[in-house]
Amino acid sequence: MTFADVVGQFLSGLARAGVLFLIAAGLSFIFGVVKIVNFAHGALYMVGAFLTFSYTKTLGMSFWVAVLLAAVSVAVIGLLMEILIFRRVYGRPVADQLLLTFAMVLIIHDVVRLGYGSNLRSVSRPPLLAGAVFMGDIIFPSYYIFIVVVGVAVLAGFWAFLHKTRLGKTIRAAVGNREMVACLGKPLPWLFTVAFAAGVFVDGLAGAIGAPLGGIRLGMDFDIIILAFATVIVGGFGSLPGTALAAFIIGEAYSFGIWLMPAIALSLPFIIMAAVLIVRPWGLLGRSGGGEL
Amino acid sequence: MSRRGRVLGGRYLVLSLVVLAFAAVATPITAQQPPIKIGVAGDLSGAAASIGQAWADAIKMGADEINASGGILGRKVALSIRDTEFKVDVGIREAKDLVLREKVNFLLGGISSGVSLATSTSVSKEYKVIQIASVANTHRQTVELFQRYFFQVVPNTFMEGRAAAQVAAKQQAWKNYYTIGYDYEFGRMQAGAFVETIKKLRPDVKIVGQHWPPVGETDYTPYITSILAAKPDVVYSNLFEAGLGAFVKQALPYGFFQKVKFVSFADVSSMMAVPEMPEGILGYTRGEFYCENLPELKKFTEAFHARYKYYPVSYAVMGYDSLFVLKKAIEQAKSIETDAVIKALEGMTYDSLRGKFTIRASDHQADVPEYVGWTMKDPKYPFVVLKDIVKVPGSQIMLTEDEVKQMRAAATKK
Amino acid sequence: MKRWVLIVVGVVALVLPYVTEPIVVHTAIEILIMALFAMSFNLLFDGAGLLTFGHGCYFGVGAYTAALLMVEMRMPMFPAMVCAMVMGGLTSLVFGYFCVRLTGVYFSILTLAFAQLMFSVFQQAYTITGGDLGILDIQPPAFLVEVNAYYYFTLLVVGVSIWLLWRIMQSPFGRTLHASRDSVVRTQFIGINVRRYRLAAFVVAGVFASLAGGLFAPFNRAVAPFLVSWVKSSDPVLMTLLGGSATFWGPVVGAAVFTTLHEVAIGYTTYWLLLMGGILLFGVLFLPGGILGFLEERLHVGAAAPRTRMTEASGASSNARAD
Repeated sequence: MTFADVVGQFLSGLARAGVLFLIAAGLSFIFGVVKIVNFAHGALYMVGAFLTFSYTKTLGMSFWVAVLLAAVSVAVIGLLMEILIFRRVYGRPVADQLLLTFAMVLIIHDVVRLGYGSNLRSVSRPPLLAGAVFMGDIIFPSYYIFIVVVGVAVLAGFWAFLHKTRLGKTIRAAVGNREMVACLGKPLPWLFTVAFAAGVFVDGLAGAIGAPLGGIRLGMDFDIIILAFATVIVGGFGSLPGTALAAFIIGEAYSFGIWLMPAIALSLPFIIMAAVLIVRPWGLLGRSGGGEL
Repeated sequence: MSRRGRVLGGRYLVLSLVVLAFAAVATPITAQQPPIKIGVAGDLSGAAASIGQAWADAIKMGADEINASGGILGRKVALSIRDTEFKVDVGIREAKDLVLREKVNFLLGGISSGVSLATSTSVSKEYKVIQIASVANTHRQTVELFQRYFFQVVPNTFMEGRAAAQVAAKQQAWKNYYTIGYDYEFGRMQAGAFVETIKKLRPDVKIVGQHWPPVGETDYTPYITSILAAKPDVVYSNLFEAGLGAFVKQALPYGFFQKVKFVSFADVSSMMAVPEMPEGILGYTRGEFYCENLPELKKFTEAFHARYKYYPVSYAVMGYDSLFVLKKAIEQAKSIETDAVIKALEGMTYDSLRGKFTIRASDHQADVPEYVGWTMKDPKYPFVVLKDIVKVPGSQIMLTEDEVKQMRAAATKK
Repeated sequence: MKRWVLIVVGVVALVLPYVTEPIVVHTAIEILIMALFAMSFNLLFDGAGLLTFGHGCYFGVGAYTAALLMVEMRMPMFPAMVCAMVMGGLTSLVFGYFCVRLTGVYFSILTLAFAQLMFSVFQQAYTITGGDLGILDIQPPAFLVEVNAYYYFTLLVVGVSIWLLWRIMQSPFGRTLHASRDSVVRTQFIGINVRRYRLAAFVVAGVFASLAGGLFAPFNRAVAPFLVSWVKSSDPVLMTLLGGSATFWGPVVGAAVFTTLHEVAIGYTTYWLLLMGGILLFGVLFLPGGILGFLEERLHVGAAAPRTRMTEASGASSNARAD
């Protein structure tokens, strides 16, 4: 066990954390603003990955264009979902909303199956990022560095948006006190739509840039949504820094777990989640009031 | 709340119940010479999707050939193909449905060893329907969890692990092994057999670590980095298909294949999923079309390729074999009656696409060979093939009847 | 439901094995087990206003306990089923303790996360639980091997359980639960420790769910980690909503329709999830009362008490903690 090995394990965990952060951030953001628990988040992530495959392999686009286009496509799908379906149930009991997003999970899953079949697909890393950076004994696959950069950029971007732009500040105000913001004449439904679209865009982006990491397959949606929930729970609903921290912890725990404690590695995220919930039910950086951004 | 409304509502419910009951009971009128129904239950989606699809395609082709030449005992073959999704619960449910509702006479399958084992114990044994496995190969199906309605025409996990170990043992420089196998029935049994055999043949060998990634895992990097950290000589893997593809793709940037030697599944389906497969890897397979120079195999390959436009993988070859083994048994028994067919199958010698093999009566395992060779690129094909192939005959790797007896006794003693 | 409807259904249930084929009896057993599972879910959902997405956890725990005891320890079926209920009760006690500290959406997500924790544990504990394969070859006692016999046994157990659930909901305990569902604050004002009642309901629901699992294991002859997963947990949710959560018999109707639909559908299409998702979508948007709710409303059958579901509305800033 050398330093190089530790760094290697650390970096693979970081890449995993990056993708997880993007998904969980979208989930947390949507919940914080629109107060919808979007079960379909994992499904949309999967759609982003499959679309990236289609754009690169079937339509022959360049990787960068495909990624951006996939994220935008997913945002559009999310928008449609919000406008056509979720808007109808904003006033309704929370259970109805949960069930609707759950219904979307099932529907999206089979629609993807209809469209793509059940085989595993793969997307190659772009030639620019296919290699690795060497520092002595330590190997950094370039693509992982890219993912970490994107994750940090998204975190910074969200922060800047929410704290420096007018729209962002309005959204933060709406999280704190909806009625007041409505009284001030701000169009709440459109605020929600924007927030929903932003959260879903990041989700699609996660699917797109996560695609070349491994394979693209049906079942990604079920697997990742639970992990995303665990991340959001550990970090605290509605807290983006919390989500980042939680994603980091879970990503690294998984990576080092495979190395050092393989027997429980896959359960680690949930063990961590359970531990956090016992001690701080509102998450590491969440507030007991339900969350601020 | 009128009285009339109340009665209406109640009747509504009863009516629906009755209708449902009828729908479930309704059976089609049977024709004069009913077809022989064969349930084909395999994983057509999930981690072994292309394996399952190739297998099902070969069986379909075989059924069409049989029907074109008059059927079996003058009756047509009717296939009922189900996707068991690589999930144990789906497998049991689909197999049960095939047996209870569609009333199939025989079962072919499965693909995943876990699903196959589950259908063997929960459905084949329970409802006394013959099941012939040609892909799923856990040895537990014929040893510890043997039941008389089950037959296997594929080398079982013990045979496969043994064959790979016998060839690997000859490499004197290979001393430290790391294994990586899928965390399910097949992965565990096969890697276990390999480890047991290599340690017996080469007492100087050390297993420095073992990884069990879950089936369907797509991110192997933490496994790769931790394997490299342990600095083994050789990595033995039973990853397959797209999972293997992801592993190789992720390992390449680390210079993995320059640092360690690799022993891997090398069947055509998996190789098609791994375009970047390096050369010089020790690969094992159950009988690809290029492994033998037999005329029947050539004919089959050409017919398959003409019909489906891709090359048949070993699983397709074995699936085809399993269907025709069944046909021969039914013809020999002159009936589809289960006990008669079992009697015909036990001890039967069959001239398969891979050559002759015999189904042993004591455990219903066919003495089929395993092929081990070194990967090499071939301009004729869009996938990597094996060269310098060592054909390890079934007799060399099969568990002896004593070994089988011992293992069964150990299991029941628990 | 009207008494004579119940009588007719009861008669049909009693003679079913003699007028239909084995496949129908098989399906009927599955319906009965799922009905019990869904009823236990509805105890929490309609009874206490708690939407749990992790109920499959206790079903799975019950099934695995029964399976392990019967296969590894050669325990006979009845004591194994009792142990299954005990394990289910203990698990729900431990998990429930943490879950009832939260409300609304947070409660639901936590139940889901706990279920997935159990799932990953069951998948990884290869030496104990058999990992991905699970436990095979579970044999019920000789006199229950035949499907008709098992059917009557299940009918008996489920029938008694449903009767017990009915008694529980009619009892002061049940009434208090309803009160806590409709208004937490008022219930607390009359001195009720809502959290404790909810925990008790959670445990009762867990015990009945694990009983259903204990019935399932010998019937299916095998158990797999899937039974513990959150995907399995969605079954009772869908069934209850389909049948109508506001009525006592809703989950049973939902279980019957859902299971029958499933059996029929798998013969024709593999796009079962699409079908289910579509039905759920349709149901939530247009049939909030489920099948029974619709029947009762449109045909004026029975008295469906007007009620509110999960009153923690999404608009107000909801606390993560319960009180």
